[in-house]
Amino acid sequence: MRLRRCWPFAAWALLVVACGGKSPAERVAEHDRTRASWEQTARFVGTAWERGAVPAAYARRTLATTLEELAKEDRAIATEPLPEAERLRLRRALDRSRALGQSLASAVGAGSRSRK
Amino acid sequence: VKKILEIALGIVTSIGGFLEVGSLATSAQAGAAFGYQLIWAVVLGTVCLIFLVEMSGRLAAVSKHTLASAMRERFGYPFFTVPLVAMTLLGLLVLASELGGVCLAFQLVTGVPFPWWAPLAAGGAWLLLWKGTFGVIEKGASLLGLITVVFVIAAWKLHPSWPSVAASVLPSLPTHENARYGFIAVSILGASIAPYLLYFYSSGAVEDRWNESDVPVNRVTAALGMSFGGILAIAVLIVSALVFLPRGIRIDRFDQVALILIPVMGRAGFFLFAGALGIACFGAALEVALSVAYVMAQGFGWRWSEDARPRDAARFTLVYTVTLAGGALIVLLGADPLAITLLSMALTAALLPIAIVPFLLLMNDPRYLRDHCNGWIGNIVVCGIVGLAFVLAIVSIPLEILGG
Repeated sequence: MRLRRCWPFAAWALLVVACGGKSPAERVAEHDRTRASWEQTARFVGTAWERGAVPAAYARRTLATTLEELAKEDRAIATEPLPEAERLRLRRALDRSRALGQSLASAVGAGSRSRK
Repeated sequence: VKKILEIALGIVTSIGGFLEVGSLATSAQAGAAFGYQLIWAVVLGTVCLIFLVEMSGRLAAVSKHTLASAMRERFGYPFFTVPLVAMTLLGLLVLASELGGVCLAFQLVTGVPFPWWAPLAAGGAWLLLWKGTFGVIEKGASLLGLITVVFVIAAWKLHPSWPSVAASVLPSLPTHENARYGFIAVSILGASIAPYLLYFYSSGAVEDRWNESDVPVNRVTAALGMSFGGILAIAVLIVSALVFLPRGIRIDRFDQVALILIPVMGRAGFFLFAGALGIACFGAALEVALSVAYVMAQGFGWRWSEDARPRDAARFTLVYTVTLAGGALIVLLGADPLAITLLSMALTAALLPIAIVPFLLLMNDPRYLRDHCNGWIGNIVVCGIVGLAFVLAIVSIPLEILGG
């Protein structure tokens, strides 16, 4: 009787667990999206700061957040089960994004708007 | 002429008070991740809200009962405890996200980290509730909230493809990230169909001493005011779709949303966004804190009125004081405002049946509504949308959590 009452919850839990797992390809795509999103955020903030459209304090903090998020991605890529070739590609792309973020953060820190 | 002025003021305040941290965050996320594709969720949420707001006003005007007091009287105290507890806990979470929005606006302008602003934001809200009247709270904050019209101007200036916008009014399946699509749709519905608004609206109608002659005014105000308000949320979604989607930026932090108006308005856009966020969230924080106090006071049968002196409604005053302090504490602890916002909006959607089903039963009870009971269209629309929100919530919330 008790089991009969529980079956909708059990079925729901099973469905959620079954659908919740992501394939390696989906995980790679997700990492690509996240990295690209933060790289583009850094570019957007950098350009806006160069044009004087955002205060320096905002640019500094958002670029710092960008670097934190990219560092989180780095840790996730290192630990998640991904194909080795993809892991390597993701880490290279991540290094480029972090370099860009760091150069923008340095430019904002130094107050040098003619960064290019 | 008086009625027309009343309607105009009602519409203007509904527009100014529509956007808050939830609708801003969810619309911006939706646009950035899926373009115009989730406009249908904003439309459904707004339609449902129009019906519900109209119903809560009608209940108050005809029965002279607030939603909370009618629910307690009709279903008894043991039953009423369920929505009371749900509303209070959810109210605290929503209040934290609104105060978080105010603090973020300060952070954007000053650079001082947002948690430091929590005491000031909560203290300001408390002072206004302590000193102000219902009219000042309701109309003052909403009129200032008209600054959010800036999103409509931005959407217009970005020249969106109007046929694509119109086509997105009809629901469509996502082409990628199904769980995220469902979760954002649920969050949009939760942000639109906020139960606290219904308790606030019916309490306000009783505070303003509405009677049956106000029923037509209520109907027009709810329909037009909320429709124009929904246009604001759609405008945020459109601007986000045109600014963030082509750049591949997904909204994971509120800091990113602050860039939304810059391509259209430059430096002014940055400060207009901060102003819109701060004012909209401050107005909503006032409403949420008052709603929790209304529900608690009406539930326990205490004296309540925002127009009464604090010492004459001491327990009512104590509730909004404690609620504001609790909300400020959550922000002070540094919880991510966007995460609290999305969580509270999704939970709102999941808990909607608890708040809405008893309300619908009340609205069909001639002992309260006499010959102003609900028609079948209202019942079907509200049941359908609340059912959809509930199903989406129980499926997509765990999927989103599992998917990280």
